[in-house]
Amino acid sequence: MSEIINEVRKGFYLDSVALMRMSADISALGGILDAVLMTGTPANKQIMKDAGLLNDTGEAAGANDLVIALRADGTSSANRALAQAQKSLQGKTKNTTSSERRYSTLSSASAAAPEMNLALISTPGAYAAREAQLALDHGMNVMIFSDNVSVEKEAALKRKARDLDLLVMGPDCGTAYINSVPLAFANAVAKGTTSVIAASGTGLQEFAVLLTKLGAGIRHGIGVGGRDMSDEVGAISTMMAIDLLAADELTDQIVLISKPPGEKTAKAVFEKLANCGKPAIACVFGLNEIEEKNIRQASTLLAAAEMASGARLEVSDHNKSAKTLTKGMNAKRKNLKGLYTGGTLCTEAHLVLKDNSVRVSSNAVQSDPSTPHQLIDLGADEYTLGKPHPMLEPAVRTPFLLEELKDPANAVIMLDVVLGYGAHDDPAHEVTQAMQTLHGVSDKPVVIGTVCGTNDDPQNYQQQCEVLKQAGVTLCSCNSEMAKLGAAILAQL
Amino acid sequence: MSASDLLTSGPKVLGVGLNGFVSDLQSQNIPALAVDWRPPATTNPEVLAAADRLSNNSLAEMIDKANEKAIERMLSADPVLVEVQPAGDLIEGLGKHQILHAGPPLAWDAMCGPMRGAVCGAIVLEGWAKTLEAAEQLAASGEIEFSPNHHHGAVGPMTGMTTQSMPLMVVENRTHGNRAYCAINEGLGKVMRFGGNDEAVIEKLHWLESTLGPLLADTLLACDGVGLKNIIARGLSMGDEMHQRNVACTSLLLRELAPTMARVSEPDTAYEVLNFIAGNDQFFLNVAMAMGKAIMDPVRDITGSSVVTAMSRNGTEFGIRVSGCGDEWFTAPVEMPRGLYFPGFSEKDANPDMGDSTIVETVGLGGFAMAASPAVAGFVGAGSASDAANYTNQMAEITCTRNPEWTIPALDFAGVPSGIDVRKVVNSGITPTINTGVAHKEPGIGQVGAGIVNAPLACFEQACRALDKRLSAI
Amino acid sequence: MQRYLPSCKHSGDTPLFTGHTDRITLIGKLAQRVLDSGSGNVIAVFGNSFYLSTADHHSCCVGTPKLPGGPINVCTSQWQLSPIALNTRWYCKDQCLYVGNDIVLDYSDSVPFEAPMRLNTETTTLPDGNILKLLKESPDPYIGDLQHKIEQRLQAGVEAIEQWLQSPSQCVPNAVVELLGCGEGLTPAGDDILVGTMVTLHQLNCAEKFSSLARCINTQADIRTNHISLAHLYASCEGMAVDPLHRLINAIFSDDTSSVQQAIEALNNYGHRSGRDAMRGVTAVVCALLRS
Repeated sequence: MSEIINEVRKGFYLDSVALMRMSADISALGGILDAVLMTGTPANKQIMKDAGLLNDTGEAAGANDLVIALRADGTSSANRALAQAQKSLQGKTKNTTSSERRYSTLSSASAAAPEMNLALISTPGAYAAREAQLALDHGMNVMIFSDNVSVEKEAALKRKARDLDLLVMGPDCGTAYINSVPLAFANAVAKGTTSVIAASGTGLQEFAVLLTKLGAGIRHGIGVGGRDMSDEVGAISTMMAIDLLAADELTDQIVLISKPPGEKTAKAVFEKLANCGKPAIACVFGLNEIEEKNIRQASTLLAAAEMASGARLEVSDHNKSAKTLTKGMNAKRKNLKGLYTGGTLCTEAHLVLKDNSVRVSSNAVQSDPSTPHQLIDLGADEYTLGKPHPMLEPAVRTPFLLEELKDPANAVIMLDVVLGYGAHDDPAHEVTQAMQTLHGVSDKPVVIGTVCGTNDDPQNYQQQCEVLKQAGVTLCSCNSEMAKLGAAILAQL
Repeated sequence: MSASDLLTSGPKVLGVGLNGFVSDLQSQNIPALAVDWRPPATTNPEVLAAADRLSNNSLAEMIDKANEKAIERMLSADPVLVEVQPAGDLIEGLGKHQILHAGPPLAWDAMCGPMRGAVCGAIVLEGWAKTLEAAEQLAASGEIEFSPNHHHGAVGPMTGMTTQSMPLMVVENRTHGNRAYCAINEGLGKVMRFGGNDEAVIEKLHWLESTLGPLLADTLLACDGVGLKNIIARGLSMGDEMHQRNVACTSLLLRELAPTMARVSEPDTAYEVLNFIAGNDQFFLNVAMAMGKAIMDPVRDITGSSVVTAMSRNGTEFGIRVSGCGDEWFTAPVEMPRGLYFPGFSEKDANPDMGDSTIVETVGLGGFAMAASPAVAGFVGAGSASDAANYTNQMAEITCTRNPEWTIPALDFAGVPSGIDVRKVVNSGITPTINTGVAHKEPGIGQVGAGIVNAPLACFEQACRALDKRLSAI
Repeated sequence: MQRYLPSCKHSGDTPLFTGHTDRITLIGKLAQRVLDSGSGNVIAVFGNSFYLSTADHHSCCVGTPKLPGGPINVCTSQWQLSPIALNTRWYCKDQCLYVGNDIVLDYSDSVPFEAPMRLNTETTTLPDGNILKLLKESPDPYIGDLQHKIEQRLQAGVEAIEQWLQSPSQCVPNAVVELLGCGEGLTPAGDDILVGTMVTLHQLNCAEKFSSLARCINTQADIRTNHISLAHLYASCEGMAVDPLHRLINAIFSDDTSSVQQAIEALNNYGHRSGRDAMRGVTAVVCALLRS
């Protein structure tokens, strides 16, 4: 079924070349069967009518109006074409002729801008290694945001980079800070003297946000990618990062955030970190003890941030809050569910719950499936196949959230909302939409949440918090505190 | 820029992929530039592997060196239009029943309509058959030997017919001592280069042979040839790109020729010839083509060089030659031009792309010099002057250098992009843009429009693999 | 060029202009009427020109020196267009045209654009076949199906003009009226054709046909086409068009092939295709003359 769209611009004149070119450009768009931009004179309207391009809107146009008429194979392609037409009409009226020079390849761009020192690669994974290779050939450091790069390619790239004295961050490096500048998914955090080596994205985000809240700040945050400390890669980037940060004059202390390193690699990494000449803190999820005495260990990102800043975050009394929240709750409600958009936050919550004697299953870590309590990392491959990452498109979480809200066995639901550069403009919105289904319902679960963000983030942090609170979400000061509250709630039942 | 420099001086970011990350940085006043990245057009892993081998490490260094040599030869060329002679006298072995045509090698059975029409016309012109019907029978009988112009130091526009009696213009490359030939432009309307073959066409060709050719020859002898490098340089600043638009260069050439011609000939003949040239905006195209061939021939056969030395179409296939692969053709089915049609004609009437004229793109003119000629850009649907600049700038991504002597005012006097590198074509997926005329698919009707066409990527993919094979064998 | 307005042009409360000032060299007759009306708005802005309009929708075109002389054109000596917003107010005072806060154009020294004299039909020669061929041959590319439909209508209109001119009838056929406002572009192609026809009829003193068609345009055009095109049509009803069109007509009837060729080229450079469309109107008259 074809779709006809007409738009009329009153008293709008364009020169003929522009009109014809725009007609041709729009006709060439996918799904467009016919398109034309013409003045709405009676003769032209008759022609458009004969061609099956005119509807009532166009019919109403006068001789001094510009009619944009198009026929498309469906509403979406019609709207897309109309948007394109509107955009080019806008462009034409601005009377600008100069256009910014564009470069189609990394090589040509790098030749034209030799001062560039970091290539931020976010192509589909299949192409990322090739572009990274090119960037190294052009003498640039590399941050690979893309995932799906094989571990063999990763190791080869990192070896090559090491030989060239260049740094490779990633693959799958979602977050980094260089000279306090946030790269890719990152929050606008305070400048400081603490530098981080992180194998994870949201882990680094949460840590940097907490550090900012505690009055300290970030110097560098080097993301090395989740597999760097595996035995296959041998922590090439981590080791380089330790050397670089040790030599960096403005770095006072080094914090390592990661999952447990590979067996063979662990010793070398910790030895190097312990002897780097600067105070070191490690927050290694799931590792109970590091032998090196020079390294201070933190079990949560909050603990690490408190160690690094020397300040304490004010926290509320979980038992008290839990009592208030569970007052009058249906006794059948027993379960805890967590729906996470940030992978590391999910892992951290799992460990905190475990420490508080709550057995939880999760796709983020190896865990016990025989428990009703469950944490889901919605950013994991099995959920993002063919879909956007939930941090880019929070609506991905909505169907899961709606289902959990309906489940009469759920006592508490945990949510993270991640702000910052790269993230969705208004991630709280989708949560509040789903929360509306609880409106006026008395038998409902407790929903608790945490917002990973700062006042300087491009989204409005205060507004996001406010909206969530009004929707009935109880906000915690950070992710580990939320997990503790979750455990306290279960303990009340 | 070492890793420690990055940490001390802060990030200056080249974004490859999601553009949002770059605009986030720009909004914080951090230096950042987005690459207009797209996935490589080549999906064949073997081709990609070959391109990667040719682009990296020791092999790349060797190729870069070879290309430097190629560029040096290109830029040092000194093409001069020196004389006009019958093809039979210039090209060894070009005699009876031999026809040279545009593009890579092609048999009668594979020829498109206009090419066949032109062949029949050429046979009648040479008197090997009395009628077009008889000519067609002769052509189909296998009696006629076909061979590409490019194999004989020559080039020809569209169908590119060259036979023994046709007068050819000779361009001598005075730096390297080689010569190249091209027939004389027949003018507009029904012409053999578009497959025309009726009496008027033949008559015009006879006139070229009997009148224009000899007088042009005398004139060139008397003025010791006409240097072409300078004419091109001035033509670029006057809005020519030397493929679709040759108004300025034709006028400049006429200015060089007219005084001497007036001296060496009868006034009536001089009037006739000058009037013909003056009435034909595209007269210079054929000169530019011979020049292109004269510039590119010395670049052939440099071991390891990935520079394209010829691009050409025969109406059926598009072919390229690459310096490091000698005289091997890499061919792929030719594409249809996109453009504007004369009244009464449409894409349905168009013949696939044809002619040796792409030699002008090979030296960095034509589609590569679009920025010099916004008028052409408009005609081929490229639109504004800035669109035209984009065409030229895009070609700079697949070439080795910019020619410092042929500059474009609108690009702040940047040179035309020169020396197409097959590696860069395959790596970027950007293929050469060619400005072209469009012939009617039936013989004898002539030009029906003009537009642009892209060289097929497959030619460059094959060339990459072949070069890789040759170099890994060393 | 940047210069301040001479102080004598300032009366008390007029702010000092800091933008471009320049001289107007040539003003068309209808353009002068627009300026004389005192004030109005800018209704269209292009790369090298902009259109002014009065409250009652009469418009004229102001352009850089590239703009040819013409009845509705205002040509300046060397001014480069600075950005002008749509609907900017303009007014005239003390022989100066003020556009917004940035542009002042002084027309105290300008000369009026004069259309050439009518041809003396006693001495004119009918063009030969070569010239007719030139007129009909010039390329006129179009794209797409819809354009094809437009072309069909235009062709029908042109044929109707030819037949009507050969007939004794004073009644303008429908197919000719339907040319008004027909076609893409700023000035619809059909209007351009009529302009070409009108000016040729005027130059050749074909008084009856000219006044029939003029009457038709004067009564029908305002509801059938846009204000900008209308200005050109009204000018043609006074026998005037842009300079290159006059030159072409004169060249055709002086039987000079090479100047026809030059004139065609100049006309081709006018507008995107307006020049070529106007030429079709001229050609229609020429063909009709040759037949009758």
